[in-house]
Amino acid sequence: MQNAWELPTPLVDPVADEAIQGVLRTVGSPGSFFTAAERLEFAKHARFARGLTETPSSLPPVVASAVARIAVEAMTSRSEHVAAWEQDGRDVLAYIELVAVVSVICSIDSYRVGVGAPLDVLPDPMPGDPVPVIDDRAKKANSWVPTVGVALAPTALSALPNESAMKKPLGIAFYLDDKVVHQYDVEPGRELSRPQMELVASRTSWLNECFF
Amino acid sequence: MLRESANAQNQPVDIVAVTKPTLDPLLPNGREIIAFVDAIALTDFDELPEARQDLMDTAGPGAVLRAAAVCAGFEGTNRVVDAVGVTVNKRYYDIGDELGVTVPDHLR
Repeated sequence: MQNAWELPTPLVDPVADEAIQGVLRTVGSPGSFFTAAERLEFAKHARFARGLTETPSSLPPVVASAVARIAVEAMTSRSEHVAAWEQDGRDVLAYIELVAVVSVICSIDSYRVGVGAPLDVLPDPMPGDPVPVIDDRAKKANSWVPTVGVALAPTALSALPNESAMKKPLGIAFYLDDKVVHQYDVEPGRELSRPQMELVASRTSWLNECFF
Repeated sequence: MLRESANAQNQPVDIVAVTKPTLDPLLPNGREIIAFVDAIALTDFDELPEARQDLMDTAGPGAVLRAAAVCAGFEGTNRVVDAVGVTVNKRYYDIGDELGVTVPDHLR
């Protein structure tokens, strides 16, 4: 056993494992603004910032700071941080990509911690340059970044369709399909009842000082 | 969504237990679930083994697996909405008041 959270025999859910491997392949692929190697550095630095590994990244300070803030204390984020990002000559859409990568690696790592498993080995970076894939309908509404329509949890990353899509399989494997999230009488047949799952969700959000 | 899903199943629930864990949420294994979630989300590796074992003993390994999964899902979603500053819909302000939570100015 290498880490304090690990069990001798970790719990296993093949459906979650398949979703995780797919997401990690996407993390390790070129994005809209960052290379695969840069995206993997975000993941590596997020793990370091959370105290899950002892290996820091070699990211530029402004990027490392953004990754650490989102990984450890996202609730302290302010519009000024996004403004500083742009003043550093970076596109606000690139910030969305960073948020997407950091959030999925934190999600995957928290799952592994919970089920007593080691962290997933990050993939080797896929070669290639970033290719912007942007939804031109995105504009600023009720958040600090452009979104397609009203900014909500499912649409917060919608300016970058590939990043938004990356997150979706995890949501379905871990929790519920978006289609039934607000169908409160739907009991999805998980190992916990729907109210028990909502207790988990509510308490997690409370601890993260998040209002969603 | 906690209250709505509990109401849909005629399941009693005290949603204030979400913010005050000394209270009983009234759901099966509610206290064990909260303790386990706390250990994951706070990366509290001193508390995690016991919290996980308690939930395992009372509800089984499947419950541990699903609680970890749902917690992990919201670990991601919470970071997204906070990092990009999604404002909180006014219709949730009343629930915030009930839970003793004030929506901060930057998310109004």
